[in-house]
Amino acid sequence: MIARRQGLELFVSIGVFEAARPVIKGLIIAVLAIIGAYIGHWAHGAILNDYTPLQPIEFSHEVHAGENEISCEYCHSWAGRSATAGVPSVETCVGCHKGLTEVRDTPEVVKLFDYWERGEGIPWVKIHDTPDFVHFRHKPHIRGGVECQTCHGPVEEMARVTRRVDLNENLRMPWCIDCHTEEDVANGRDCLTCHY
Amino acid sequence: MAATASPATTDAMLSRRDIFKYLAGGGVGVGTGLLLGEVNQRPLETLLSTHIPPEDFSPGMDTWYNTLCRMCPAGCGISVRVREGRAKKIEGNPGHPVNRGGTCALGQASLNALYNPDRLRSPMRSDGEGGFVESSWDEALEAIAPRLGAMQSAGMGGRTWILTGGSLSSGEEALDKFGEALGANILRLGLDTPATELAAAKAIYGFNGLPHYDIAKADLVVSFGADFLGAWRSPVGYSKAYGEFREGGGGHRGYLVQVESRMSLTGVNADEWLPARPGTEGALALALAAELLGRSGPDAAPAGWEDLPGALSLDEAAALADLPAERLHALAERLASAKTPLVLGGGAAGAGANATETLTCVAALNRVLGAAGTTVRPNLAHAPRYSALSEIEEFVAGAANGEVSLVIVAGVDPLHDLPDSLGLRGALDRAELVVALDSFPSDTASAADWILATDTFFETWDDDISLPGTGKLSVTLQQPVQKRLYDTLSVTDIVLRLAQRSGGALAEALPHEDAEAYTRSEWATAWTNLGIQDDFDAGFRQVQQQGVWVADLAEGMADQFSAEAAAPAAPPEPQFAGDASEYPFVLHPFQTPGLREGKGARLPWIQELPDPQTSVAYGSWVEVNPATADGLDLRDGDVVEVSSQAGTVTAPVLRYPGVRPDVIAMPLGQGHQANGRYAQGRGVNPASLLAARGDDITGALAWAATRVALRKTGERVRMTKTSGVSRTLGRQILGPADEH
Ligand code: SF4
Repeated sequence: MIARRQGLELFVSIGVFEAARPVIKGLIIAVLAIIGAYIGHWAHGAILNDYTPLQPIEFSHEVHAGENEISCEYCHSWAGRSATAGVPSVETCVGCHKGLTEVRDTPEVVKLFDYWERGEGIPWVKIHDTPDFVHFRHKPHIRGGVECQTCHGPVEEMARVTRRVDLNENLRMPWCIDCHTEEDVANGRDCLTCHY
Repeated sequence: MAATASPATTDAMLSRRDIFKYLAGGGVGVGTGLLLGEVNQRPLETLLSTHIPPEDFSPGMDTWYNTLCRMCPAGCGISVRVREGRAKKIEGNPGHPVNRGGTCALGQASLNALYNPDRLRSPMRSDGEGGFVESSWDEALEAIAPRLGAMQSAGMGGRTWILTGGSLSSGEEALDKFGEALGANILRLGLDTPATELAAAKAIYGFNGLPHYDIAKADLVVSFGADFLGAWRSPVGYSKAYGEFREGGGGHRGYLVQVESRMSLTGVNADEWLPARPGTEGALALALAAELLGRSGPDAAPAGWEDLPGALSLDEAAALADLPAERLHALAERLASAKTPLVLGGGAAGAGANATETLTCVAALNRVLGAAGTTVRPNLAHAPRYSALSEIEEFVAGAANGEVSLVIVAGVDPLHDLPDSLGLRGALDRAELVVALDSFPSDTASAADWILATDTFFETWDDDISLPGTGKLSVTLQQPVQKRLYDTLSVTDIVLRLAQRSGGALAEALPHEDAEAYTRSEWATAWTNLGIQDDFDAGFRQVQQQGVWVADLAEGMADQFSAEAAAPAAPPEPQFAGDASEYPFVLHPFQTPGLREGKGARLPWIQELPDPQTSVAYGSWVEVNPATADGLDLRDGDVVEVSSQAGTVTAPVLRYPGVRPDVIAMPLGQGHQANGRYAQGRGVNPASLLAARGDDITGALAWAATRVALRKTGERVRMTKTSGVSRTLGRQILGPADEH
């Protein structure tokens, strides 16, 4: 400690550097600030950022998929058939809710029927997304027996759907490749399987 | 630590204050990082749910529907890729006999019409000051139908004029029935109509319809002005056939000779290009026919054709057409030795004042060559109807006398496509009520009192018989590939609703519920008339899948040529509107593969597409032969005033060696006064230069019979072009160094 201090003292007290001392201090502060910014930016993405945007209707997966045990593919019915899982049409929601008179007047269900009457779709906010250079397809994953939760987390426990940060780190290429390797997926390690 | 160190040293290296400073620096950094992370998030994307999904809706998966391209009369079959209920991409229908899987640029770009920001989204009513206000179907039909009903019951239907195109679709048929029940007059309009070709086919081949030209089977094609690879009739179908022709469909690599005063896309591809003087093509064809008859002797000639009166000798014809005589002799040689020759006529050669005579001579040459029945066959059932100039004049005169109460313009844009000199604008102004059925505020629709917003062809039902013929009987079905985007109806739907609301004879003539029911009933009737026994529903479903109904011609139908066609007379001297001393050049308007007569101008992809020959995009130009340009001191980009008896336009010069020195060529299709943001005010419209002059026999508009003068304005512009200079700059790239 002392040696270090003396070294530093030696360094800063050499005559030539004497005048530059405030500049050097400023530089140290700047470097620290930059390192800090990196740490902050990383922490934002890796630790702090559960992505839980507000949705146009406060739809609870906890109630629908959890308590009422409606299967995922009842509403996201294309997951096993197409690249995209799809969101249900307003008609699908209303199909059930027409009969559910006991919740008809709750504010969120009222919003649903407003969309229905206006003849509009519901602009749900997208939570999970892959970049445009990745062609993720649901169909082979669902058919291969991958649980929805593997990628989307325990949605049936979520009152408001969130992209949890631990998954956020998971949904990256090494994770995909690990699984493809483990499961010995045909062409699972070819670049062109996902990037085309 | 501080206690043991001397104050001076501590201050010099790491005081408490410094540590705070460093910590604060780091802290601010971390905070900024977090903030940046927050700001830098991916933008919010939404997953818009459907309201009620269409039957075939499966997100992420595409469905292909076979239907019909309506961008030009060729009537290609297309397959449209639909995802999430929206049309996304067009390909040719491989099972369609005309285009066999191909499409042209205009067909590809037709999606731009569907999603165009300037498409009309609901019926519009004129506000009387040049603008339009949104209206509803109820209001629109209520404004029109009672008038119709009253006119019909008072027997005054003749005060209504319907302006439409010349196709043979079911939708056109509905308009016909409507017009008939009302007693209205129908004008079938278009700039480049096949009227002269029809008349020539009737005179020489003896059938009522357009011929089917089997280019693939030919070993020699001589085309008089028909740009069949660019924009004539069916560029896609003919391009396919041309490929086979070049690959030896007729036994060896086919040889192509193009006779035209401005080198077209087909001319560029030809083995020989003969720049004949405009209007002399008929005399050339007749001279060749006479020469061939002379060689084979009178016994080989069709009855009564032993000698063709008025035919010139090859040398005389060459002098008249301003061509080297030896090339004409060589051509005669080739024709005589060809096994399966084919002669085509069209384009400007079919649009002079002597066009019918010209095309009659061309057809006669086919007959002399024995092509009639082999490479030329009847295209059954295709006899489109077009109005002669005299009928248009009748309409204009009627309007001037206050005898026109109602004008219905259905899907055509005569104020842009046809010459101003016809006086149509004034006639529409004078009519009591003008109703345009269009999906765009076209030049004509913008002059109407009502615009009834129509579907694009992706959204409704219809059908069409392909213009070019396929050697078979084929009808293409048009079906909706997606739901309507806006509050629009098809022309057929509008006609049906107007008829229902008007009541009386009109309602009786058209009792169908909508375009779908109507189209189905037309097909069911045709099925019965053709004596087809199969179950209609199943058959129709199959047509819906395949997109086209094709049947072989009945025995002997393919060879229906009348035996006793009279020998053709010599065509008269070419006549042009305008005095040669005042207007020294013949104007040669031409269609580019994208813009055609103007339908492509509203599509941004087409505007962006460089013309394949000149590489010019987004505008108009005037093609001048370099020798002529030198004489007038004109360089590329010099703006010139092109004027005729009928009008004046200004556009930049493009020096083009492929045009005769006494001819000026200009592309059609631009120069719209309205028609949406992509078309409006871009380039100029050479149709406005054309004199109201008809072909001598059919009275069809002679759009290649106007003379013009050029005047340099002194202004210069830079044209939007993808190529630099056409000169080789002494680099000897092609042949000897040029002199530039
Ligand atoms: S040739 Fe005509 S019908 Fe065929 S794709 Fe092109 S525009 Fe459409």
